[in-house]
Amino acid sequence: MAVTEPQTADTDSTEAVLRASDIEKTYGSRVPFTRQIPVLSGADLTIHPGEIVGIVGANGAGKSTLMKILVGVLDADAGTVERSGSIGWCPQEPLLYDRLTVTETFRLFGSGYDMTSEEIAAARDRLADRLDFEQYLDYRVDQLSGGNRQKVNLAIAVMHDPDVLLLDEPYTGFDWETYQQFWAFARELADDGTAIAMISHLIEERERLDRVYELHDGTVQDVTEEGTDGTDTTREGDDA
Amino acid sequence: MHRIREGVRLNLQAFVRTPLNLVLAIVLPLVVIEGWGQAMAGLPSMPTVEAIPLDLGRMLGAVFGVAIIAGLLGLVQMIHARSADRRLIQAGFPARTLLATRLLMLTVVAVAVAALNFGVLHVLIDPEAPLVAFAALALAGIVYAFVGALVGAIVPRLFEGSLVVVFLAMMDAFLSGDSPLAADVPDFVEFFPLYHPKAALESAALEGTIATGEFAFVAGYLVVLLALVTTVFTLTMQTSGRWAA
Amino acid sequence: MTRTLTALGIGLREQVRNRVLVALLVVLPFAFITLAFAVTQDVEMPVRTLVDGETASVMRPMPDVHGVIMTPITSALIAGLAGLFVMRTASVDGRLAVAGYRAREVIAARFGILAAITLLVTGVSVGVMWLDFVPENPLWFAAAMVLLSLIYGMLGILLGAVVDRLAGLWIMLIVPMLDIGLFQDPLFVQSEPDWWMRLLPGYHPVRVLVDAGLTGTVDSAASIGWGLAYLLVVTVAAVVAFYRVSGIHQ
Repeated sequence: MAVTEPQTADTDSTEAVLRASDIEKTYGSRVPFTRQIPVLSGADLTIHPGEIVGIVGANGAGKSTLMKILVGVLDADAGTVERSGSIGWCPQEPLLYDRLTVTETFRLFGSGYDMTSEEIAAARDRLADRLDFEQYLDYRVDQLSGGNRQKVNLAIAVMHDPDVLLLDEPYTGFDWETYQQFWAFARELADDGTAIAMISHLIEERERLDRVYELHDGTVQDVTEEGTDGTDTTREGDDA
Repeated sequence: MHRIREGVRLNLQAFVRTPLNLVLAIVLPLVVIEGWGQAMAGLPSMPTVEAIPLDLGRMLGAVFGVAIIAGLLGLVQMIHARSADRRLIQAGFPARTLLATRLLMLTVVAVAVAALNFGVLHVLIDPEAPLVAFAALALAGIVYAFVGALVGAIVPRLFEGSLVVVFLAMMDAFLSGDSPLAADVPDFVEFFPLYHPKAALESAALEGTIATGEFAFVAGYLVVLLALVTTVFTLTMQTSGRWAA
Repeated sequence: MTRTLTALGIGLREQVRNRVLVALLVVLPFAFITLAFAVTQDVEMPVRTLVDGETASVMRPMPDVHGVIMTPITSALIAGLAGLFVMRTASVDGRLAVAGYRAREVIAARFGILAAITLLVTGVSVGVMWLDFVPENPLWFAAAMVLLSLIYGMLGILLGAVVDRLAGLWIMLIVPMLDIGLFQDPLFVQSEPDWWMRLLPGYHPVRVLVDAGLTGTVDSAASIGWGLAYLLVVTVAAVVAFYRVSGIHQ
């Protein structure tokens, strides 16, 4: 699978900062008599600066798989992903080291983002205030509740002000206030030029999304127009 | 009873669906038993050190092999099922039924492991009283499966728990094994999990006798282990019973 | 380099906070090795080793022989398990790569943590052994111990990457015992080991351990070289396996 070299993102440009073409992915072994599960069969997707794109679909449709391929932690069997600029990824499960404190987690990931100590501290304090977990900075990750762990999970993804933010159900476990804060925060980031793609299950959120892609039968369709009048476009049997 | 049967069946199904586990369950006994036998038979005889007959070495290998595999399975079972068990109990599933399922599952697995090991052993040594010998080996497996479950309940982490189980089994096998290399071992070795099952196995395999004293001790040992596992299981389910905030 | 050191330092801190593990890494070797010495008959037994480059049988006290064999079994077993469990954070390591860590930095940090655990366990094992038995050539002995433990640590990583956890546990628990405790044991194998025993991970390091531990001169120095070559091969394999499984390839 081809990946282009990252370039400096121009937030004023209408050029896509992330473009996925003909993505295919099948799970399973080549050993005979074992099941192969095709998940993606030619998925296309583009994300532009400053927009919040929703990726919806039934359970098992391949949303997380697509997102992992867009991020680069999973290889597609075919297709290309072109990325410009820095990436921030908030996975569905909090992928964090259990015995590190929140502060240490910021330091570890901030180091990866090439941030200075001052920048890391500033980002940590800003996000802890914004997402309301300042009192837990010295707690170990395994001592946090599920909701707070998810807050840290999200904060790690955005701490370096990425050009592209890929979020897989980022608000799982959030209280109502934090959930509202999250959307306000996301809109601010988008207004600053960050391109955001988010896996979402909540039909009510479609109003907050600039575009909506639906993953179905291994391909992606832009269903933005279908949902804008507030009608329920979920299929029978889908989760809301 | 139906729930217990179903629980056992599903657990076995999950195990069987991992081909490598099945292969190892068959290959490892062969490697361990014959490896132990051949290596120990190579020990030179000296005035104060008796040579170890090949069959005795094989029996020690069988006992150790059963202990380590059953012990690890008991550990894994207890750790993996921990969260799900808590949820089941909170959802109203009777704790006693759940524990009975777990223990019955462990017993079935231990007996299966013992059967595989005994199958290999039988081919190699032709025991005098095969059924009794198998019973002794099965009891060794059940004892260690419960020991593994106990360790899993106290140290619910796979790496740490497996360290405890394997070192326990190694020390046990070394001291319980009547090794001619060992000096007079302390009396408390008699309380090690493998001591009596191994003695019972040797009696059955070499002499064709039922060492009732040894079997009785193992039965008592199992009762004590059962009480310990039940207590620890109940405590761990109770102390973490509240839903996370 | 800075990122590697950051990841390594924080990673070590994370491991040290696992108090149960740290306690076990100290207590288990202590218990096992001390017990082995305590119950071993103090008699002389013929032991296969190298004398002037030739395989020969020498008479040595049993406790010394047990020291030479039980200590590496302990260390190799724990190092192998530690390697196996390095893979349990593979998915989180993949996230580090998304954050900008290069593959080599993540690998260096993870393998560095494993090396630290291996050195700790080796040090504890040798330290406990030293209470009852002092090898004839301590430096060679220590070098061979470290070599053997690192080989098993790398094998643990390789195993953790290719098989599921239960299978990996079984293999990594039984193989060191059979390899070091039986097939390389100079008491049980009185003649030069068969060709297939010489392919096992413990062959060269244990050859040096026995020689350095029980004889006045080290005639098996070449085995250190062969052991290093073995370590290089398994390390490369472990690195490749880790790289593929952890999702750190960006």
